[in-house]
Amino acid sequence: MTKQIQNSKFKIIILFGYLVIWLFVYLPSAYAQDLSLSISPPIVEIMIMPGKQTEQTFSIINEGLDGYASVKVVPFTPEDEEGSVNVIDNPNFPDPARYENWFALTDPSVKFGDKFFIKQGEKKNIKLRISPPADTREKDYYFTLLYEVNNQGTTAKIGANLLISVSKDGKPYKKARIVEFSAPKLIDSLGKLNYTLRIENTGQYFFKPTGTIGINPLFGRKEIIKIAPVNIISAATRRVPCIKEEELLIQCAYDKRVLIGFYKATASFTTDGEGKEFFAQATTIALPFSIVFAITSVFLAYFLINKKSTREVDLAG
Amino acid sequence: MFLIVFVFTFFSLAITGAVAQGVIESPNYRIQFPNLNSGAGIPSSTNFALDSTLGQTGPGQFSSAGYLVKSGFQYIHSIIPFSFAISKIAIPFGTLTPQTPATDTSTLTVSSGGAKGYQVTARENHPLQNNASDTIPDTLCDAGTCSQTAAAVWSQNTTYGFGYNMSGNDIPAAFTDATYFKQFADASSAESAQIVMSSANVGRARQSTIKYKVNVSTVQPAGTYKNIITFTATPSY
Repeated sequence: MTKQIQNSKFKIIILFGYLVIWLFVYLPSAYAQDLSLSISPPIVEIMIMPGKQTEQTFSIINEGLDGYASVKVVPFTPEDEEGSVNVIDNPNFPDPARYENWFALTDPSVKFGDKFFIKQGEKKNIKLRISPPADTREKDYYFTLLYEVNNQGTTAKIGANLLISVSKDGKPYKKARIVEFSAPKLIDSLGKLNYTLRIENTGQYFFKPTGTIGINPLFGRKEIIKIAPVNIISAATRRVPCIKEEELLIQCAYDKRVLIGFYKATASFTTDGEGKEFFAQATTIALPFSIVFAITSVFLAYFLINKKSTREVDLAG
Repeated sequence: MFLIVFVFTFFSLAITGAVAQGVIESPNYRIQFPNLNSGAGIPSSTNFALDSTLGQTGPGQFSSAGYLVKSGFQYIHSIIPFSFAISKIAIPFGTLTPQTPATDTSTLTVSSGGAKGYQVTARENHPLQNNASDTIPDTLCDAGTCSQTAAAVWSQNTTYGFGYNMSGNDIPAAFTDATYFKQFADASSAESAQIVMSSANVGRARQSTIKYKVNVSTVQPAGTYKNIITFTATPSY
């Protein structure tokens, strides 16, 4: 009888312990008392004929408190040379109706600018229909889909960028210019050799530069670094980084310490891997200033110490 | 009993193990595939090509009559979503004592992995204002030189106004230390939203602290003053 009671107690303890573990492992995570939102994908590139339409789904998630959300599409311009966007989120933006008929939400429960309730942890798929009118001029148009959540008077917005190229034949002509490809003219041996590459899009359509920077030292092997295929939008200049291991953006630089002599670098690229090749060169002379200085200092110190020792010996003698 | 536990565990695993799927569709195609974390090659045919950017919802490229769509950065295979969080949704300063600055903070967190670089901007709808339309003006800092674009030292208790300081990851260089403040850009004066965090690189849980500061003079009319700060996070293009 006592054994049965002990066995029952053991089972109850096991069951209780299991339930506690289950609560921690399987119940949904608690959400912080904040505004937290996410959007995917963060960028969409579309090439479309005037008068045609396409549809793109954006997933938005409210990871913070319950709140009221809304979505809208607004134009953007480049903010700087790093790829940042300047969202023109202004109801008085010149001619707001100009792009109104380009976009529609296929979900009838969601309308541009109208608020809808979104629960904590809720994910919503926003299907955006994009249809530039038949008389749309052939060129690029840039927009940001803004997802906004309000709660207790605080507003947070998150955006996804839309790069839309309107083209009748799907083969837009792309134009570029190297604004700057530079490196220090003179560099100390064992120093780091960095390159600056700035490319301007002089055409009407965005492109990604496809190319490399080849660095030829006087002594040693040629090194090739890959230019990052970042988007360069029309009428904008972008400071282009390099790319390592397929997705790590890095400063364009000679990977090793420079030694002595000429380092001739050539940047070359095409727009989206097609057409005309653009190139520019930069030459750097590496001289061992710090090594010469260090050796001179050692010799000078040795000379001075030796001279002082000789004088002390003379005085002692 | 152990049978019950086993059955319960089985159903728990079955229920929580749902896998999301991405859908790309057009009048001509419907491509549905799971959110992959590995893959093999780029599928293609003579009529269309599909370039998968793995690890995102709805990534890839398809072409059809009249359009071509690419979503996600083709050279970023990160599974980090683009997300933005603000730790506090209200900043109550409480009762203000003239010439005694009040401060409060909140944390901004950005995970930009799938979005490469990013920026977060901030803008107020108007300066702090009460129901009688009295305002606490945006601070000019100790030397009268700070604005929505320029930071300056604000440490004196006889300097009044409302402003902010930033510390942490990816903040503007102008915030040299905790004594440097700026005004918020003012939408009612048509000022452009100003960058409070930015990075050209992929990052996960990049975090900064924004410190709000307010100080009033002895002649400031009594009342409840408030405004709305809007934070906007956008990915790089």
